Amino acid sequence: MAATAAGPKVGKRRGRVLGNPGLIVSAVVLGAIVIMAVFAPLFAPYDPYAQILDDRLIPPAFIDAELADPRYLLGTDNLGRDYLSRLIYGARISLLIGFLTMLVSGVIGTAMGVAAGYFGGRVDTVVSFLVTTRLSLPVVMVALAVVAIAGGSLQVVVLVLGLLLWDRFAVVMRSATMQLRSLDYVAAARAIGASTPRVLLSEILPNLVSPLVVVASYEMAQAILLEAALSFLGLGVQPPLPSWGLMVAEAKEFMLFEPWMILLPGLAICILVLAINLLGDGIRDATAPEGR
Amino acid sequence: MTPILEIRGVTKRYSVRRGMFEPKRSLMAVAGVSATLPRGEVLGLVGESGCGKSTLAKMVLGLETPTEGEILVDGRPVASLGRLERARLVQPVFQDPYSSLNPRRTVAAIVGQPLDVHGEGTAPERRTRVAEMLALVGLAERHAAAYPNQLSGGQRQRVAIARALILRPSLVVCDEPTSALDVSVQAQILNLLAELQAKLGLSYLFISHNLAVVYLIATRVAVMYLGRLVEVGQAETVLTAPDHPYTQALLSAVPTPKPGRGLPGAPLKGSFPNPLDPPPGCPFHPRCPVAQDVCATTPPALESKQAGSTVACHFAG
Ligand SMILES: Nc1ncnc2c1ncn2[C@@H]1O[C@H](COP(=O)(O)OP(=O)(O)O)[C@@H](O)[C@H]1O
Ligand code: SF4
Ligand SMILES: [Mg+2]
Repeated sequence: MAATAAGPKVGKRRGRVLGNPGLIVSAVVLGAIVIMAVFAPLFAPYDPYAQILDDRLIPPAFIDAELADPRYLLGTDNLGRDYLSRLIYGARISLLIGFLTMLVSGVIGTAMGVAAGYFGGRVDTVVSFLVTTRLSLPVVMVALAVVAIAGGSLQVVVLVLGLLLWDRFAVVMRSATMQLRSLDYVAAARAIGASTPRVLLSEILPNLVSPLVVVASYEMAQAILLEAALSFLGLGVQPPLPSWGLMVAEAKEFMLFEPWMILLPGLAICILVLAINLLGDGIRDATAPEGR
Repeated sequence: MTPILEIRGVTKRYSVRRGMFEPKRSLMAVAGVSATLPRGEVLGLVGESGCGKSTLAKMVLGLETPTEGEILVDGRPVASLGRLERARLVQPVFQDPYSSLNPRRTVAAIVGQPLDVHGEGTAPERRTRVAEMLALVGLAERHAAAYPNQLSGGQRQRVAIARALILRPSLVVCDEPTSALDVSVQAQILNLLAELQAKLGLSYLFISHNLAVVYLIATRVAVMYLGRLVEVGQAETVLTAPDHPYTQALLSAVPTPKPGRGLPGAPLKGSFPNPLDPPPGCPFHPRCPVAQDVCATTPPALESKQAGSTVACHFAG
């Protein structure tokens, strides 16, 4: 009996996932990057910190077949470190910072947005004021200033970005909650005696998943880009940690003669950010409850 | 015996603002309503859209607080009841079964939710009670695992009724429970509600803008206009020999009692007044076919007539 009722739904959802190539491609790409990052020691051919000074600035084969060295698939940097290994370890930093920042800002923004949307009145006024205040701060400038004072480290970057990137969560969750609040199933839940936390957790939050996934993916991508920007300016994570932004920064000295050095980490950032955004959109489309 | 529902001089004001820079104004959605519903009966509340029916329903359910006045359910003030106590006494069935069911929960979870919230029974006991409830409202066992979007409008309304009745409340507030449904389904749901009322000894506050529907189910009728009650009495009397010009106008628009008919409002001139600017005197006077000068200045009070109804009109009868 459960099969007849649940069957068409599962089938339809599978259809919606399989019928969305963007979702599948981005999930595969992101999955590959995450697995590579988590099991970096297994995938990286060399120690990312090991400097082999005899083998400096070897280009990859597809750039210059003559100078290339088959031992270094993506070449080596100016200190003779294997570029592929550094890229693989760099994925760890980017993903970690992106994910943790998204978590911090997501918790702050969602709590504020849901409270403002559900309670309205004075709570809403306070939250709206905080959002306006936050929006009046230029993210990059504030992040630069704080990191310059507190010193660049993974924890500081996550905390600073997390405390800066919650505004979109708050705005989107506020308006989505306001729409849900006026629905009769929320009134019905209150009428059966459900407490306010219960209404928020079991009636409101589950119906916020779709917009939440979209904002979360967007903010994670945003955090990865900002970390890259901070590292590029020398204020993010510190060398010799192999962050992609840091790799771009280190490569800029050699931009004229070895442009591939800047191209590879730059491309990696682009692909990761694109995959995260596409995955967010795809998940939203696949999880939205069917219309009436 | 204490009446199951007693509404005593209840008023609800909302402060609204039309534009960003306009001052706040007070909108009286419900204005000094008093009514009584004896146990085991059905009080039909009729009136045009926007006259304040849902606002009154929300106050009875404890979802809104009256600005003035008091509501007693089973002899106890709603305001003094805890949320769990209140839930055991009074439950709602809303108009739109598409928005009254959480799309992310299965039917079994929706119907069983009141038991979860009240911590009643063990998991197997709850399952049994949900199954019994589904059978009682005419749903098949296989519907338990379905999500709302897999059900028809009529089936969804049955789910909403099951959720409302599983705690065995004494009073059910039905806010236009059939008006969002297909005409062919309206009669089924109405029959189900009537059947359950008799079987379980329930009392209904039954809201509708459809007089034919009310005629079928109500024992008492209250007619509402612009937040005020204009005529209250036995259903038979009010719906066959109305005293108030407004009720008369409503009835003459319904030649044969037939479910599915709305209020064409044909004999009424003008449109429903803006509740932000209620007319002075009798609120019905701009549209009343028998209005006199006094109607524009002096509001009529609800007075008892010989037939046992109370009517608010200077020239009723
Ligand atoms: N939360 C609210 N804020 C402001 N005005 C409201 C609110 N709820 C209802 N109203 C107003 O109160 C009046 C009565 O509404 P309602 O009770 O929904 O009428 P009905 O159910 O009879 O159609 C309407 O004019 C409506 O605009
Ligand atoms: S009081 Fe006057 S205006 Fe009002 S219903 Fe009676 S006759 Fe009509
Ligand atoms: Mg209504």
